[in-house]
Amino acid sequence: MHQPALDRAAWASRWRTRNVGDKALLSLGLLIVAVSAPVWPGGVAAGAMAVACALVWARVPVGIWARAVAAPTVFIAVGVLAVAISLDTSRSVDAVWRTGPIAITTPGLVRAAELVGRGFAGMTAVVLLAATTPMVDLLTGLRRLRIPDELIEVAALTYRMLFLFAATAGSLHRAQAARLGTTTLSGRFQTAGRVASRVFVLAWDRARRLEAGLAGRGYTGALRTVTPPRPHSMPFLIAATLLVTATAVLGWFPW
Amino acid sequence: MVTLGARGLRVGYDRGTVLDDLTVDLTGGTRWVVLGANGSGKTTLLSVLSGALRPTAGQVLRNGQPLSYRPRALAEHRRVVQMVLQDPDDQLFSADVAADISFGPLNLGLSPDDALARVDEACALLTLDHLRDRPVHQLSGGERKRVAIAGAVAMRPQVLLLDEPTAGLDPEGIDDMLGVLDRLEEQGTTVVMATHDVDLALAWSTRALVVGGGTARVGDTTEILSDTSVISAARLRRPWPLELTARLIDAGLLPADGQAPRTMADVVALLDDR
Ligand SMILES: Nc1ncnc2c1ncn2[C@@H]1O[C@H](COP(=O)(O)OP(=O)(O)OP(=O)(O)O)[C@@H](O)[C@H]1O
Ligand SMILES: [Mg+2]
Repeated sequence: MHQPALDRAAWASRWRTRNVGDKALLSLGLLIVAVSAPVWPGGVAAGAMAVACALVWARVPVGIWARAVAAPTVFIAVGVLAVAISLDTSRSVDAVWRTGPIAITTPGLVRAAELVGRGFAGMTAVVLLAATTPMVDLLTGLRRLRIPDELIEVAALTYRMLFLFAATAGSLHRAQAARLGTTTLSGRFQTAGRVASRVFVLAWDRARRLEAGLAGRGYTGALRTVTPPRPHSMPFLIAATLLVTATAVLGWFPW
Repeated sequence: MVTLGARGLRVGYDRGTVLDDLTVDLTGGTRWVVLGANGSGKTTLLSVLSGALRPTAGQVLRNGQPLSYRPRALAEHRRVVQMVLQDPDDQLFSADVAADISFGPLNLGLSPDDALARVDEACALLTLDHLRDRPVHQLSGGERKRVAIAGAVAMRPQVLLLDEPTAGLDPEGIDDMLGVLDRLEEQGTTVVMATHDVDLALAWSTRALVVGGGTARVGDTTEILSDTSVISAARLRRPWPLELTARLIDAGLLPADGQAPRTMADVVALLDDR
């Protein structure tokens, strides 16, 4: 069944059984340094530290990590292009490169580089948490922060259902493809439409049946659950605090 | 011990009645099978007995008392009678195995610690400790089934209604499942299993309820499954140990008055005795 790489990595992570708060301290600490310290050296240091923590300390497989950061990297790159390029019809500023009214200037490049540094560093800090902590654990962690239970229940249920519907959509699509429903372009559109409408109906039916199934287990409107507590690890907390502090000191150090 | 029953039960969906004036008493054993062809009303009957589906006429009986559908009474019924649906995805709402199993115990009003103890107990009983750290969406159909059963078992019901617990399982999976049912029985749980596997029914159960054509027949499994009129009316077939001995008797290879065999071992023993 289809399962995103990041989700698979999170469930299989060496850090799976670590306390979510411990991991969040490390990840959010690096994130704060990444966005608030000067890009050089702070952002770069935070980014490097987040990458090292993910790949070396938590041993997230490199391929999965690369796939997880690929999409946000494209996003950052597109955003950076818009910052680097300026529209200059009067030809008044010194440009590194220009064609017609489109120019790339030195200040523009500096701003773009800053954006890349911050964006990438912040993103890797978040991926560190995401690649080591499954969504359900994150949601359980949010409960401690007094986020309303209803919100967390809906999010957790949505997370579970998404995989169910993705599996259903996948098998419906394969079944149609097996009967040659996707050999032509119009066939492909029709197949996609049929799969989408079928999944919608199934989702409806599933919700109805799940409600009946839960009623039998005593459901009265709240999806309350408990999971075994995950104790804090003192060595991990100390190591994480040291790393974040070191990065921050390095980041704000007047070189 | 809790006994279930039904009196004058009528249940139907929009297209007609499925069960009509059904009166049964699930007494005389703790290993029950509900047998019947596809669409005969096995699932419907279990749903009614579990309190999930309300009959249009008649009553469900628990210890001889008619079941009331007021929320309090229904909650009381569900403490004692739990049903596991055929499709585990109709029951598993959390991606986390332990969290999902803890749902029922918490609804019983247990404290989080007690609920976690029940989770451990159910996981041990169903031997699914190795699945606890995997997300539900990574589990196979058979593994999900075990988790769904654990969710019901964690509530320590006295009667467990299982809808086709062995469907889709491989031979080893079926043996494992029967092992689980044995352990449940040792703890005093009455297990009622809907199936159309007549061989399994003969080997495992002591009592059988056959649904078909709106009504039901109840009796000792061997007796019911030896009765060709019941079997053909319900569109089932004779289990192979009974079929084989019937033919061997016809061929004069076995005496006609022997004990009816239930398993391969029984058949071999019969032939050895000769
Ligand atoms: N929700 C429903 N709405 C309408 N008709 C239904 C519904 N559920 C079941 N039926 C009909 O009721 C009859 C009995 O269904 P039921 O599911 O109880 O059969 P079953 O014995 O469990 O069959 P199977 O062996 O296929 O699981 C069938 O004819 C079915 O089409
Ligand atoms: Mg059924």
